[in-house]
Formats: sequence, structure tokens, C-alpha cells
Amino acid sequence: MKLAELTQIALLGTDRQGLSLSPTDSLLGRLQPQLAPARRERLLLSLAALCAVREGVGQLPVQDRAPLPEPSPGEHLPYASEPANALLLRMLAGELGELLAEWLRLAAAAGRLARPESLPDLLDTGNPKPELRESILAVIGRRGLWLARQNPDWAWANGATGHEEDAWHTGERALRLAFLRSLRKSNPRRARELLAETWEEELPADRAVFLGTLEEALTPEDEEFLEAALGDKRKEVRKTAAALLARLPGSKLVERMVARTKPLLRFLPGTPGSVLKLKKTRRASIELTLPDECDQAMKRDGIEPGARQGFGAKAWWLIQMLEVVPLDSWTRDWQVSPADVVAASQGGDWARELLEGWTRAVVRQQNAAWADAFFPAAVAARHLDLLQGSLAAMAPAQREARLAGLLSPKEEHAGLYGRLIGHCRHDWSPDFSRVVLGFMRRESGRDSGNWLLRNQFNTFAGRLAPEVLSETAQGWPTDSKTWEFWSKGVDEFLAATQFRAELHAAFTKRPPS
Amino acid sequence: MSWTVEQVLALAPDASSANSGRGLAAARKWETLGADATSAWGTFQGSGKQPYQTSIDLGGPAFKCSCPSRKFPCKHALGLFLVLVQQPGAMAEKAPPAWTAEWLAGRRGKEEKKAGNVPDADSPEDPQAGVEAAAAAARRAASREAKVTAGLEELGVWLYDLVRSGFAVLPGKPSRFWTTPAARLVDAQASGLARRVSRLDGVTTLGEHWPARLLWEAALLHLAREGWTRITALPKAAQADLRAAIGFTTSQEEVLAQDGLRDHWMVVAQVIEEDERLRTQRTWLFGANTRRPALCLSFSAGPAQPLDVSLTAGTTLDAELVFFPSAWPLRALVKHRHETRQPAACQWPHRTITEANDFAAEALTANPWIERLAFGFTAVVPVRRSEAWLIRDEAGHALVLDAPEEKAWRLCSLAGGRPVSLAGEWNGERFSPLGAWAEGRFLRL
Repeated sequence: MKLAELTQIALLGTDRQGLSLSPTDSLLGRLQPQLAPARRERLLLSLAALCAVREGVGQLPVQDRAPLPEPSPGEHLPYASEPANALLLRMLAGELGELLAEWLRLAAAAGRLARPESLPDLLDTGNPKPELRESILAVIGRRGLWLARQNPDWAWANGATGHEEDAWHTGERALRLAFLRSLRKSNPRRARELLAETWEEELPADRAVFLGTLEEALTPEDEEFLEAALGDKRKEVRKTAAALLARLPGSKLVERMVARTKPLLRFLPGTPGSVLKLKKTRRASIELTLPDECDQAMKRDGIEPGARQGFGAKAWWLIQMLEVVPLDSWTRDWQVSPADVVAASQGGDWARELLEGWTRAVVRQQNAAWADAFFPAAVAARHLDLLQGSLAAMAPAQREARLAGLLSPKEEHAGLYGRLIGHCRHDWSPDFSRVVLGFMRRESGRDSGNWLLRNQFNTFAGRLAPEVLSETAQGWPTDSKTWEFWSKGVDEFLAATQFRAELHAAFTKRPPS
Repeated sequence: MSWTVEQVLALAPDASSANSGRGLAAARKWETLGADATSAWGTFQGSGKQPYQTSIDLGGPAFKCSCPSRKFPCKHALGLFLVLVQQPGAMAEKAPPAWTAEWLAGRRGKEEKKAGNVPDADSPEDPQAGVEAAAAAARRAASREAKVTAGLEELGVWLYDLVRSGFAVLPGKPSRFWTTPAARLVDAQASGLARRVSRLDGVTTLGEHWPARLLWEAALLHLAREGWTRITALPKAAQADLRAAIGFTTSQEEVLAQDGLRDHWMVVAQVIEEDERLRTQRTWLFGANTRRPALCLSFSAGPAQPLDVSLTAGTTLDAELVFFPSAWPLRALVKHRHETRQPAACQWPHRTITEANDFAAEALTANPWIERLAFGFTAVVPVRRSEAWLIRDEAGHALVLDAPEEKAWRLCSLAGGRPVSLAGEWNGERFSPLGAWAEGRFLRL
């Protein structure tokens, strides 16, 4: 007698199904006479109870005969310390996840591995954040690679292979984009080839986005493909292609733009006045002719025909042209320094247009020398976008020096310039960290309602130099009237800096032997 | 013993307390901080006029705080504990202040009293009052038993109806078809059986084997009903098991009055199950020498009623345990605790899956009402098969895991394809992993 047989009877109901019992079963046969036989349903349940207990007790474990997987090889590096491990687990659980990159960097630098319990979450993180993949690979050790081989979700950890290219052909849009981005980092040529293969079938709306991935590792090799994209039906695609070509100094697009623009500008050197005052001193200046028309060729090269941003149409064409023409070609042609060009441009009628065009060029071409030369003019114009772009083009030390000047307690508009701090995305030096700290302390004693700044405190916490982390707790204007508004931002900032301090301590302190 | 951040956070009554506790885990936020070998204390300027005074008895652990929070442990206690774990150097004071010392002395005094069985000073001394109280208790007990008898009679009618008309008509029945008889059992003060019946709600959606599962459950309910009609004929221990299954409780004082069983009890696993109203914490222990299992339960009906935080998975306590009466004693209370420590290595009792299986068979033979048991394996390998995750022993015997993918992968990573020590709960069908020893460390899963 088995529970399964009794189940068949129970399913139909004892009203419909008789209960025929074979007393062959030794235990049940012996017990059956003791069971109250009065009603069939009670007898059925009594027998089921016996069977249930007997089958529960008599259950045998299953046999697994398939071969065991090859165990993971031993590690060649030691694990991170327990405190470091605890911090990692907290971040993987969602606390201050933005500091994960720092943990990974510190661990890799110290030659330490993430412990096995964190590996699945780390491997998961690599999917939405391809930019962390390389540093994740550095800390997951042999165990992590062993693990990743068993889960198709973690295929990225075992290198982009032909198999992964399936994602490009069959995946959803977001997956394809992530794949293309990461492949562009590891194998730029293959990424472009894949895009070219499917180009004709891509939705017009997707083309511009996919094309944008070529920004990573852009080389003259990409020019032919981009040049062809200039003829695309869709404006966004043409614009993206033109913007990328403009960043290739030797490209045909840049050459065309140079040819169009050079005749429009003339540098007139200054002449010193003579002692006899027969001749007046004349400052250097730039003579400018605006372009007459925006023809098809110019439009194809990405020039927007309409007027924009308070500039007339012709001036706007010129600004866009200046943006593309290599900055160093002006100084070379005219045999002057960037500072000379700035000085010459700022006196004349076209000062605003030239400043706009050239600072845009500074941003696009990442030209640090020109950025520095134009900075004072951008400050004078209090043009935040230009300032931000110029700062981005500078080397970290130069950027810090320039911005530190704007954040000084003596600067009247320091509050305004505070918005630029967030755009300094490099790791700050101790000196600059202290400048920002001082600025934060002063501002948090002022008006409430500056959400923009308060919301950035957390970002600042991630950029401070490690040496300064222990100096953050004191010196806040806790007695000010507006402190209630600021304290939330400051508390979060302090929590993050303390977390980072622990993070650095966990990797630098010698573990107790 | 040394604590980890994870262990401390596991003491939090809920996620928001854990977060608030973390927020206070910075030495700079505290006015004073101190610790000695067995306790920690600190003062915290909260929103009140006076700073809050927070103390921790590390021997428990036990907590005391002067803040008005109804959560336990409160965020201050958790924050203080985290500071102790993460920044031990910040615990500047070395001698406990009076408010900590008094509380500690009070606690230790109480524990000694409990251990020494000193009768409470306010216990009734008037013999006449005692007799009257006993008579009243007997009347209450008789009335409850009558209620249970009536409730089980009604349960029987419902059960026999199910079997007569056949399970085939059940799919699509509304929820109340199952919850009504469950509610009637609650009224009849048979909460244990009520829980079993309410669990049947939705049984017809549980895959193709649902009729067998339902028959299994119905049969056990029937067994309880039949047993109750002749309970006096059963052996004492079986009576106790049946009464517990129906929902009778045994007073803790009665249990604590017994002699304790001293051993090094390894806390192998802990799990909290949340119901609509009730949180139940199951803590599983094994005696290192006696090899006996023990289950400590703790219940909480809301944030004001904290779960017991004195047992931490991965630790071993030298303690005396007392067991609730049963044919296969399992549920237990800690009667007296001598010392807690962090063991250096794992000595869990089940060397093979067959051994664990025999252990479960022995338990179920003695007490058919056991719903789950803990297994503590010394060496099993987690393996992923196309249909499920398994754990497997040297002989190739396997158990199917009951674990979300996330947890299964973490376990797989910990093991790296090699045997690990693994503890968890067995429900008769699947094994739910809860804690592992791998490479010399204990980890909650």
C-alpha cells in the first residue's frame, strides 16, 4: 500500500471509489484490523497517515551520478582583510555603491582578492557597469573565473568571444549597446566592423546612438565609415558622425573646414608706438569676415544653418567652424602664442563670437594650452559652460590651480563657481581637497535652498584626497541659522568620507599577525 | 568572542534599525565611549535634553539604552556595538560608569538566581491561596480541552467531507474554503492545527503532485484528531508531542525547572520567518559532545517585542539546555550559559547524507509532528544540475536545495567545487542552506 494509490482514491472521493485493500503489506496488514473500519473515509485517512509517516521515515536520498565539476584552482594572491571584506559586502548590499570602484582599485594595487562570498555580486555588477569590468577581473582571482565559466550571465568575465557576438546579433537594444561599448574598449576595430555589418538594418533612431560608441578609441581608421555616415538620412546620425570626424585632426572633414575658415580670419600684429609719437601704439587684432552662406557641403559637415544662443545665423556658422579647425593651426599659421590670440581677439568687434568659437574648440579638442589662455576671458564673461569646458580640457594640476582661484574666500562670486567643482572628475590633490572643504564650510553657513550644491556633497566625498579624509569632521558652521538645511548633506558627506577613511585604513593597515 | 559587522547587524530588529544603527557607527557622533572585556557603553546626544546612556553586555549579548525607542536593540545600541567592532581604538574609557555597572550587576544577579533555582520572593506562600489557584487552573484547563475536543470534532467533519467528495473538485475553491476551518480551529484554541489547515490554502496550485501533498496533510490532521480522542492511552511523551502539535503550550518555568544538559552547543543556523503578524526565529544547535540537536524558538508580534538576540549562528556556547517534553526532545531553552566563544573549526555532526537521513527518520519515527530539522554536514559539495541545485556527499548521495539562485551561487562560490561544512533546514523534501564553514570561516548564507 502506498500513499500514491490512496491518493488516486482520494482524488475521486470515497463516495465514488471503493476501497479495496490488499493485506499483502506486512506492516499495514498487521495494523489494519486495529483501524476503526466504521467509515471508508476514516479508514482511508488512517491508512494515509500510516503511509505518510512510513514514507517520510523511509525516504532515501537521491543518487547524483553525473561527474563533479573540476574544482577551482588555488589562488595565487591573498584575500583582502576582514575589514576590507566587510566594507565590500556593505557596498554590494547597496550602501555607498559609488565607492566600489575605489575598493577595486585599492585591492588591485595591494594585490588582494575579494573573498568568495562577494564574487557572485561582483560578477553581476560587471553586467550593468562594463566600465568596472577590468578592475573586477583584477580582484576575483581564479575562483571568480571558475565561477563565471558556469554561469552564462557572467560570460563577460571570460573575455568577449565570438560567442558573445551573438549578443550583438540577437540581443535587445540595451544589451547590444553595452556590448558594443565594451568591445570598443577591448577591440575597437572589431566593434566598428560589427556595426558596419548591421548598419543597413539598424533602426534610424538607433544608428546615432550606436555610432556614438566610436567616441571611445577613435582613430583615423574610423574615418571612412564616419565619412559615409555623413550622408545618412537622419540628422542625428549626420551630426554624430560630423562631431566625431571633427575630433580627428587629419580627417577630410577637418581639412574642408580649415579650407573654409582660414580665409575668413586675419591676424593683424600690433605695432609699437614710436618715441616721437608720430605713430600711435596699435594693439594686435583679428580681422574677421563672416561666411556668406551655409551651403549643402557645410551642412553635410555638420554646420547647423539656423541662428542659435543669441548669435546671428552667420556668426553661429562661424562659431561652429572655429570649433572644428585645429587650434594649433592658428598659432602655427600666425606664429603667435595662444595668449597673443586671446589678447588680439578680445579687443575687437567680434570678441564674443571668437571667445565662444575658440572655447568650444578647446573643449572639443581638449587643448590644455589654449584652455589656460582663454580662462581669464571666460571668467570675465562669467560664462559657466565655457569655464566648465575649459577646465575639462586642462591637466589636473592646472585645473585645480585655476578653480582654486575662483573658490577663494576673497572671490565675490565663489558661490556661482562652486557649480564647477562637480566637473573636476579627477582624484583631487590634498591641497585642492582642502580648498573645496573650506568652500563647503563657508557655503553651508550661508543661505539655505542651494540644493544643487548640497546634493553634490556626496560626489565631493568620493574625490577628496585620502590624506584629507580625517580632516572632514570639524569646522562646520553648526550654529548657523541655515544649518538645519545643510546638516543632511553634511551628514551624508561625513558618512561617505568616514567610509572612505575606513576603506583606505583597511588596505593600508598591517593586519594583526 | 570577536564580533563582525555582519553579526552585529543581524541583531537589528528590522532593516531600518540596521540602517539607523550604521548611521551612528561613527565614534565622532558619541560624547563618550568605553569598553572592557565584557561590556561596552557610550553616551549619545539625541533629541532629548539628557544624552542617552547606552550599555551592552557582551556576554549575552544584551542591551540597555535610556532612549525612548521601542525597538530592541535600538539604533544607539547597534551603533555603539558597531563602533566597538569597527573602531575599537575609540573606546577610550576603561572602567564602566555607574549606570552600566549597576545594570550589569543586576543582570548577572538575575542569571545566578535563575541558575540556582532560588524561588522568587513574591511566590505565594499562603497554602490556601495555592490550592485555590490550582483549582482555578484545573477548571481553565478542562474548559480549554472541551473546546479543543469540539474543534477537532468539527475538523473531522470537514476532513471526511473532503475525502468523500474527492479532491478533484477542489481546484478553484475560494480562499475561504480553507481559511474558514482554520479560523474555527483558532477559536477552538488549536492554533497548531489551525496553522496546518491555513497552509493548505493554495495547495491545488502547487504542481501536479498536489493531491498527494494534500492527502499527506489531511492524514496528519486526521491522526491528530484520532490521537486526541484517546490521548490518555498514549505514552506521556507522545501525549506531549500531540498536545504541542495541536497548540497547547508548556510553561517555560516548568521546562526550566528540569535539570539542564550541559554541553558545548554549536549554533549551526538561525532563520527568521515572517508571517502577517508574527515573526518566528528558529535557532538550531547541536551538542558537540552529546551530538544532540536542539531548537530554540523566539517569537515577536511587533517591533516592541524583540526577538532573542543571545544566540548567534557560528558561535558555540558552553551552556545547560533544558528540553520541552517530547518523545524525541528537540525544542529547548537555555537554562544557564557559562561562556560563548567563536570556534576555530567546524565539528558539525552529519558526515554523510545517509547519516542525516537516518537522523531525520529517527526523529520522525518518534514524533510524526516534526515539520523541519536542521542538518549540519561536515563535508558536502554544492553542484548545479540542469534541473536544480544539489548538495552531494562523497558517496554520491544528494539533497535538492531550496534556495534562491543568488544564495545558491554564493554557496557555490564559497565551496569552489570542494566540500564545505554546511548547515541548514530540511523540510522533508528540500534542504535550505543557512550557514557554511569554508576555508576556516563561518558565513551566514
